[in-house]
Amino acid sequence: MSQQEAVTIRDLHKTYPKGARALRGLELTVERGRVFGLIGPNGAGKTTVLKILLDLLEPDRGEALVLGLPFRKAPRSHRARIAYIPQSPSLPPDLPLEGLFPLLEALYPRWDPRLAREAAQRLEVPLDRPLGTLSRGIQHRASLVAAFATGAELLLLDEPAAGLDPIGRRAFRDMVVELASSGEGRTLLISTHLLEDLEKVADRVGIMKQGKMLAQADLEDLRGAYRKVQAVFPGQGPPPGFRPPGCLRFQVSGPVVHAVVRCAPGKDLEGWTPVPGVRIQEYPLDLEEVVLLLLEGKEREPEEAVP
Amino acid sequence: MLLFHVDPGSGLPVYRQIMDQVKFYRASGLLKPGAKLPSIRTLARTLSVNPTTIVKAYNELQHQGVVELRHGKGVFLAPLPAGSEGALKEEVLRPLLRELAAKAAQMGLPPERVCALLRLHWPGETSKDQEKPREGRGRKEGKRK
Repeated sequence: MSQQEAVTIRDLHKTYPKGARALRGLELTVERGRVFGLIGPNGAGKTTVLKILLDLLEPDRGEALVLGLPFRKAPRSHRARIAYIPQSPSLPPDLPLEGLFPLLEALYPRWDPRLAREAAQRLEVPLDRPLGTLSRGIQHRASLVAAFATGAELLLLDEPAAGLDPIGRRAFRDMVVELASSGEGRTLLISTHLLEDLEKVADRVGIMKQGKMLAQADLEDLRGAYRKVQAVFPGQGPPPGFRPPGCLRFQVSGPVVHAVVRCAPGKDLEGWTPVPGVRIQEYPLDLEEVVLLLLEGKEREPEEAVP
Repeated sequence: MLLFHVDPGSGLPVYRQIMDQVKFYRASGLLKPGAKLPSIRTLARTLSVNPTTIVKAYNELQHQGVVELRHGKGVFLAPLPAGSEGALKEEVLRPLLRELAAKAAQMGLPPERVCALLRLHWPGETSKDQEKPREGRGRKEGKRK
């Protein structure tokens, strides 16, 4: 087991008692120091993965390691290197955030009191009001403050930005960048169905669907890797058998061809001008479109069909 | 610090957007050889992007000889290779020129006409032609608003 891996998941399966198959042989590796975005539609199994990593759920089979150990077998000192925020965190309603700090300090040896106050200020969470009197959104921010200040090496965040307003989201992204550039090799695993929260701050993403990992890639490699192409041919349309390399989608309607092409940024399209007079337009595919493409593309492959 | 801007939705990798801006600043003389560029951490914070993205941009720029990473000191603009100034400017403009040329060709505009149009829209340019310069200035003022 490599110490370079913050999270290692191999062949993970989980079926809930009522028969819902949440995970079907999931594979996932998160290297240390990464900000990893776990993305996928609702019901893809993202929350189940995080719960299994923390031993809040038991898998049917497979392996799930955090910082090299299964959470269940990890000693307390190892567990203190990991922090988790569930989708709807429950905080003690009678305590103010400030009152929570000594408890967390006792649990987390690397607790950072300065960062706690700074984060509270940035995310605009009052320190002295009972948490139960704060709105859901502010409570959510309070739990982010607590998680960021634990000094944990591995943070698992389940839909952290879902309950935040635009200002809260911005502050959240800034906090993530801050942690990632601290140079201490902190790892964040962030699950979300909102790509926009991740597309600047994450450096790697895993795309999940129906309990499986469809793709894991560096975000910057996905961005700009595909192009939409429209080609208008003179006369009747493209010559018979016309199909340039790297086409993921290819549609002909009369003289017009629409395609999505895999092509490295800055490179020229290959094989698109065999006919004189053909008019070609290229458009970049934004990240959201790329993810949708991957989600739908794999679905069509027969070997991916549910057994 | 000079302004850097990234558009995550642009479809171009963020590290390439940063590289392009550094190259533009170099070719335009806004950054001189030896100038210190913002640190990885500073740029990550100002742009709110993951620091590995900045590392990737700087590494690639170093590979291309645009910047020098001096350990513990920071990132500096490399000296310009002798006589390379024109080539650097051309490199920055190339994608725009190619797009312009492709679009003009598709509409059947000859290069001479495109050159004339370029001249017309040149900042501050007053053409000898009586009609066109007014149109040119009008457009420019519109853009400034």
